[in-house]
Amino acid sequence: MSFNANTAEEKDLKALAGLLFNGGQAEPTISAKTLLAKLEYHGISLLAAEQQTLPAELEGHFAQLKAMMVANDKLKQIELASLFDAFNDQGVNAVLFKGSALAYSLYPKPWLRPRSDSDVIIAAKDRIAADAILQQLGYQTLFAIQGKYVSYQSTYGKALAGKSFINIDLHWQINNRQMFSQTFTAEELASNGAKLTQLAGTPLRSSAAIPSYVDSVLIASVHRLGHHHTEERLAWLYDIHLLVGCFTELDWAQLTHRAKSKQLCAITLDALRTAQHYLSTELDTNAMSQLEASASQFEASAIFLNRQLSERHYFWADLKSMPNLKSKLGFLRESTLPSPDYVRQQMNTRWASIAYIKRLIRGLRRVF
Amino acid sequence: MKYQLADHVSLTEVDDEAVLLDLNSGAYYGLNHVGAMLMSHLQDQQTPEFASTAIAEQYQTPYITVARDIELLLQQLLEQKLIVER
Repeated sequence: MSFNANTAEEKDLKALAGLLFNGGQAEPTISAKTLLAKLEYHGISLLAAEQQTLPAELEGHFAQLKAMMVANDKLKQIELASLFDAFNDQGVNAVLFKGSALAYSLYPKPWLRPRSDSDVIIAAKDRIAADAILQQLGYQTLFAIQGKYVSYQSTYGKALAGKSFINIDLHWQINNRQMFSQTFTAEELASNGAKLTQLAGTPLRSSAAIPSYVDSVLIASVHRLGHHHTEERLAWLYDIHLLVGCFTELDWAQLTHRAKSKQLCAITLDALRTAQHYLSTELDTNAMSQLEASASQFEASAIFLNRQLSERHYFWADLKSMPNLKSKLGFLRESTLPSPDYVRQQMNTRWASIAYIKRLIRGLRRVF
Repeated sequence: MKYQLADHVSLTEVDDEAVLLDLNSGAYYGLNHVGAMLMSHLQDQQTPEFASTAIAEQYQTPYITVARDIELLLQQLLEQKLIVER
């Protein structure tokens, strides 16, 4: 299902967004259970609870949830600090980005920004070293697609104290979509960004690099449409709302400059406008005019503005984005014939031949 | 008698409340405003009696009532090995 807000969804999103600000009020017709499910889906439960805009009957629930999130976050802070110290000790230049980076640098309290994993980007040359560090610290590989072109990330997991668990998404390129995969390198993010010497009070022996707020807006815009074009979650828009709320005039100028040079004007403009629409985000008029002017010219990434397209359109867009014939052929081969291990796992069968047939049928259905 | 957090315990202040976390077991305990105030006084190396006086004054509650509640809380924290004698 593609996300294309109809009137009811639009009203729903607006009403939920209103709960993030003083004076907001939940619709009286909605049950507490439904409201909780919606807040949870949008990743804004504790943000709304913080604003005291939720029905009083939910206070007990949120008091418990907050204690759990605070405790869980503390365990993750300690683990992430150890991980980044180990990366630094071994000379791996890693950058913490997306939700975790924002939680520890932008949000007043990190547990207000829920996240299922922590994203870390490294240079491709550091993959083996980073993998060894993660294994040494007790992480297990949860998900990894073999191939040079179809995936640029692996997921590692580790059980922490109690029932807590931490997932690390280790990227060696910023996004799996070919069009966006080279938007930023770890080196570029680190050189534009900042270094955290503590994570919400948990000290690091060294530091953890994070992207600048400007780069974070571009990453959030790419993530929103490039990776999640079928949904609109308020937590991601709220990230953008908070990020640009910290912008100086220079930041706005840098945003337009980088969006132009990276051919991301249309999707950045869309993310900013959507944040403004739902969250009344204040935007810089001059920067918006510049983005609008550039977005009116051709940008390949603008294909992602159409949220109704089928997977095959994105596949062809990915294929077209490959830089040369060799990589195009490699991408085609890996997409159609992934490794037996992966295809068995994906198709949930122990027989590779059956898995390939099921995958072929599914692929043909998507294309035609 | 003075108390301090056990080595394996972390205290996170959350607005006017607090969360105690046993880093070994992952068990956590939410503390209300009074519990958070008590922990803050203990962290400042104050005695439970001092904390009781301060809290009784702030809440305009009889000292004896507050002292009894605090004694109970300290007992629970000691039993859970979240605090130790300083």
